[in-house]
Amino acid sequence: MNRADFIQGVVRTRVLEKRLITKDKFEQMINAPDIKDVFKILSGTEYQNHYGKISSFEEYEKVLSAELKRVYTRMREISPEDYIIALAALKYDFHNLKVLLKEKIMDTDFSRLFIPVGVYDFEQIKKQRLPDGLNGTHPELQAIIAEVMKDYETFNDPQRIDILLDRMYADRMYDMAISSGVPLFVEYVKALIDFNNFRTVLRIQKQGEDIKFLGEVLLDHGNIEKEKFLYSFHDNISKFLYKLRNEKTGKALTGGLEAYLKTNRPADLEKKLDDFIMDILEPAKYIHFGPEPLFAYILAKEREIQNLRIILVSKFNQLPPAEIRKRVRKIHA
Amino acid sequence: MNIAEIFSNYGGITFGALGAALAVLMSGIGSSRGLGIVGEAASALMIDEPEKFGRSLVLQLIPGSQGLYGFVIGLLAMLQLSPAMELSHGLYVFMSCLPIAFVGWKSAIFQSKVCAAGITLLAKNEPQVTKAIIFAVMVETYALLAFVISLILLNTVQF
Amino acid sequence: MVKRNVHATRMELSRLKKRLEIAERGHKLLKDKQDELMRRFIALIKKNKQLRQKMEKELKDTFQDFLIAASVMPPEMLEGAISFPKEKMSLEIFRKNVMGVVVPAMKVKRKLADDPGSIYPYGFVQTAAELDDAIAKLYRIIPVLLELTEVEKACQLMADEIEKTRRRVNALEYRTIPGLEETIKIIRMKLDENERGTITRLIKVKDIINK
Repeated sequence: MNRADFIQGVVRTRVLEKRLITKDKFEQMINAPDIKDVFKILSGTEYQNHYGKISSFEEYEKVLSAELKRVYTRMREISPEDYIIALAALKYDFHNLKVLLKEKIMDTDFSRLFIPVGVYDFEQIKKQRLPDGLNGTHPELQAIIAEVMKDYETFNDPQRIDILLDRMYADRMYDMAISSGVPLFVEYVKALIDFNNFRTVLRIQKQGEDIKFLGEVLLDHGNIEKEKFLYSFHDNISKFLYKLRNEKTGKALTGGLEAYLKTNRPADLEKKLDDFIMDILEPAKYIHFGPEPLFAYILAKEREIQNLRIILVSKFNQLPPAEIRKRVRKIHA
Repeated sequence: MNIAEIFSNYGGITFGALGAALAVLMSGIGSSRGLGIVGEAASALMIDEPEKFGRSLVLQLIPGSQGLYGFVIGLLAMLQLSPAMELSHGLYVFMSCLPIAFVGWKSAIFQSKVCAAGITLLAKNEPQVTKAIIFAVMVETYALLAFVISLILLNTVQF
Repeated sequence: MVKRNVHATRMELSRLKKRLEIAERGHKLLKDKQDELMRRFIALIKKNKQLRQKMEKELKDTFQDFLIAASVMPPEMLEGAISFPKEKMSLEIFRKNVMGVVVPAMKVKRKLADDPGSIYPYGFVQTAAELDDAIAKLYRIIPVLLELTEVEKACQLMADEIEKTRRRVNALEYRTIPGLEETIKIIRMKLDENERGTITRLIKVKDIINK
């Protein structure tokens, strides 16, 4: 990788970064009396371009998804290398795969559930007969689809579709990060896997599932080995924390867990972990030569959209500002 | 004529010319490379914010100075050339050219990176761009030192 | 139900007397039934109110959780996650007899009841943890919801029954019984009148004979 090749992309990204919604603007939106005022504050930002698509404020989701789509199109044009965008878009591809498979198995139409920002064009793929119809066009997808379909035929369990695809998603993401040779990407992916595994342990404890099931759903390639989570499954919380303290992501995990124990709301844990992901991407601000700023911008934009969704959903349901403020994620400023 | 004779007869002018050529060549390569990198960055900026052309031009020109230094040294070295030069004189000219040749080459590229980073600063926070120019000029110091040494070396010893 | 043009005979009288007796006994029984129905009805209404409050609170909590999940996940992912359920539920409906009123009773059955995780049909990577809570709560609400349905339907049916019984009691109390009593009185008066007529006639006949 020649880092100097990215300078054009980085400069253009920096221009775009200026248009990210600032902390002050977010604060204004949180304090806005209702959804109408949020939209008023949003006008003058990049979101205004999509106002024409909606006829009432309740359709805010259309604005958000249009913006997401626009960001990906723009970044695909700016980025000199596809893998940067693909690494960020992978989650949508796997989401679309899930929808596609469920659609095929249940024989219903879920067209509205596809998120059209992934690498693959699922509108096109949908039209083909699965899994053989893909012959030649996307061999990697074909392998995935065939494997999941076979698994469904044996177990008849829709949850396994998600679990299998989640595992493949993590594998794929890790491979992409490693082959990119960018340390920040590897760090990001590893942290993401750690957080997911940690969250999964807590969720499975709450759901009352057993350790065998946990072994099936934990992801590979994290900083913290799968076994550590498995061994700690029956430990009490303080012992679990003690075991994690020396891990690379241990600090974030303990912080998140403490927040969770205080309120017993998993959303608080998720917020802490999301914030930590932003901290990992922080160095991208000081890199001028390389793919990191482009990737960080995409994630920052996704974070912004998520924050807007939190604010809009909350405003729509008349939550008080203090409650919203607790949920809004840290931004990449 | 054996090798030794060729060497003593023509060595002087050959080395002198080689020095002059190297000074222009290497610092020229460095500068053009540097200008290229910054130019790429600047043209990316022009897509979205063409009104920043003036300031990005300043940033782009900074790594260009090394090429100029190399050119001046090359010119001065050229003035000392004569067909009857002694080998020692030729070698001396050659050596005098080396500082600017190497420092000019590398410093131009390093400087261009600072300038490209400056372009990103220009993109994001325009009022602070003067600072980026100062940072870039810092790198210039060493190119300048090399230039000065080359200049003094060329003029101190009279053959 | 006063019948003025009755055959004022002793037979009619005793027939009417029997009817009155039955009507009175029926009235008493119906009155008892009505009281008992009322008692049960009030208890049910109280239970209904309790259940409704409980359900409303739990539903509100659930929506709160759902709201959080919906705010941190793109809606497509949220819907995709729950679009293919793993668990299948079936509902059994029985009949139950309360004071002659047939009310429904329901029982819900989970196909994979021994697997606690069967209600979560999604993976863990692309879903928010809050979704688990929301779904767990929803499943906890289902029995409450069914019970509420039962109670509410029972209340409705019982209210109908009470209405019907009350109308019967009232009809007996204010129409049938007073009417019968009136008719009996008329017959008795007529019979007495006849008797007095006969006596007078007899006295008159006796006088004529004695003269």
